[in-house]
Amino acid sequence: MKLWQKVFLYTLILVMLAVSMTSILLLKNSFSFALDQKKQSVYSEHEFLLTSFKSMMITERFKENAIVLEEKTLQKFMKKTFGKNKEGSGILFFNAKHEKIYTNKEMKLPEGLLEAVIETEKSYMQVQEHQLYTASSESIEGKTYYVVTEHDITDVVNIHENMLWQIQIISMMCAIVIAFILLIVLKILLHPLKKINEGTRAIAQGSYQKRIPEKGHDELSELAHNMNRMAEAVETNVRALEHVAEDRKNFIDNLSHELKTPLTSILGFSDLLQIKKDITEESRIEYAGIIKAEASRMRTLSGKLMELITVGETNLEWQQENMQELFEEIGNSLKVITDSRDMNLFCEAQQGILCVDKELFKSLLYNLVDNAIKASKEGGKIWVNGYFNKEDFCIEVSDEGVGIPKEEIDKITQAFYMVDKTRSRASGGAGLGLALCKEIVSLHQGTIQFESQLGEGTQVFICMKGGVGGA
Amino acid sequence: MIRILIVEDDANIAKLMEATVAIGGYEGIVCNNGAEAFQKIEHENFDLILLDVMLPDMSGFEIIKNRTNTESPVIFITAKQELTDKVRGLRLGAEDYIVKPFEAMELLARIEVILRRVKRTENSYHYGNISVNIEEHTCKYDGKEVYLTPKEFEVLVFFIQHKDVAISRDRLLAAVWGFEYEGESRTIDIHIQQLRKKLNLKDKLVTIPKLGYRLESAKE
Repeated sequence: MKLWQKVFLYTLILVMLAVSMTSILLLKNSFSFALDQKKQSVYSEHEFLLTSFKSMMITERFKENAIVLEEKTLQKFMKKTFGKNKEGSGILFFNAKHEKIYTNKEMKLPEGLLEAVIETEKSYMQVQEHQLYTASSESIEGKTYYVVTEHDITDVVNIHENMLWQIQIISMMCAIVIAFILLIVLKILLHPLKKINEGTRAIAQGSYQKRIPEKGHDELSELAHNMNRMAEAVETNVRALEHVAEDRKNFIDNLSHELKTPLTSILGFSDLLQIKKDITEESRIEYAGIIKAEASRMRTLSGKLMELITVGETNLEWQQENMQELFEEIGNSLKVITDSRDMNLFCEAQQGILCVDKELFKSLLYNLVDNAIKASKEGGKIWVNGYFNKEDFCIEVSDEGVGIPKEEIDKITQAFYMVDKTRSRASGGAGLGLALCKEIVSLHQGTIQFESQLGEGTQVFICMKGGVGGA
Repeated sequence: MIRILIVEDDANIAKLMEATVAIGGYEGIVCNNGAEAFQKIEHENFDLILLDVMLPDMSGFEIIKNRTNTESPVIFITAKQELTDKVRGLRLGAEDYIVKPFEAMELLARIEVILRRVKRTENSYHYGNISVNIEEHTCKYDGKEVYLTPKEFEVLVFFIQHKDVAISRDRLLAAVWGFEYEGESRTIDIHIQQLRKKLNLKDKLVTIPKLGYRLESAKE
């Protein structure tokens, strides 16, 4: 059963119970009040009847000239007095021996009424079938008689039944009106719930961008608000997951492309060497050279790839390193390469200590300088500068090389991204160097930024936290 | 001479493809970027285009989608081997889709299939004093007709098409009997012996140990 049906049914039942209980109680009160009044008037009538009968009997006694009237005379007198009044109230006399001596009507006495009067000698009243019976014991002519009068109270009962009937009709009409109003009110109140229901279903089915309307300030709008926050969180997470999945797919796509390119050359040229009959010495050397070059390209790629994959997983050896000494060491080994290409390398750092993994840090600088060398012409200058800025250690690597187009700067740290593929491949690049640098910097809780001017050179800025300058 | 346009950004692979098509006796024209290739395709007709999908400036798919000169048949050559890419390539109207890395003979075989389909291959071949007509399915030796079984005929044609190339038994099986043929390579040896006998090719159709056979070019 739905919520609105439950609320509707329970409320309706409760309201109807309250209405009918109240009206029945009221009705009962008013009926017993009316009955009491009737009883009083009936009782006084009963008294009056008997009193007048007694006084009339005294007159009769004088007329008969008797001291005491016999039972038979009394019977006659009763007949004379009450006999005419057949439509009015009935009356019944019993003598002390409980014998019926007179009645002007057939009466069906309620059980126990007479017995109670005989036993206690008091007056009693009892209602039976729209008739009110009043019984009392009277002493007439020195003897005890029991008198029962019967009064019709149909009017009182009728009024009661009439009212009961009316109340039933009114209750029914009330029920219909209340049910109608209740339905409308419930529909209005629960309308937001329906919206929330529809909204959450849509969200659950995958439309994560959908939101539920938040109107008003009740619990339902609060619920809608919370649902929306939940949907937002889900949406963000799903987007992030999609992003990760897409990145991974791109990585795999690029990787397979980068692997297949040299593989195609290696397989193809070795195939040619095998199946061709007459190969000139020139071609043989050329083909073998290509195979060797492509194989070494694959070796570079696999080495870089291993480095990139394991950089986050290997146990890092964090050590306090003296930056000035470390830069000098790296500078000396890099100078061998730059000197062989007629380039000038200036590598120095301020005195100070930074907590780094030495091997990774070396790899970072090698990769950045390697990039600078590849971008520079003969005779170009390359600067590597390390300095402390408060708590941070900053590294600047700059060159006077070809530079990077502005729109590509955001992409250069992506794995396999190469600004100039032909050039990069010719110099043996795999497109993984900067991806590796970014990974190393983020392991050192640092940031890496690039600035470049096409044709003028590139600057790389790295900032790592936790350095102690001076010393 | 049949001209094949090779569009490939990697210089080594381009060189490889050029050398491979040269074995089949075709002329390869190399083009290493998309824009230049597009201009060429628009203004010149080639017998076939070997088109790399991943080019730095313009993808192979784009080139095919945008070209107005649809005269030349296209084979896509790519490192992407996902089915969706393959379907996309073929939907764009390519004749075939070859995934890197490929073998030289495979590339040649696929090229021949396409050329035969668009009827750009020659109908008759001559080798020394042997002449073969593919359409008539006849073989003449010194002007006299020689009877060959259909398979012998196909084997002969395959060798004449690939003179001076060492052909493995597997390759020959795939080319003549079809890839699904599960016969023994012994079948090939019998056919070769028959050919040598019928056409006096004992010295020309030589056995290459551990590999297969080779038809040496006839002395002019």
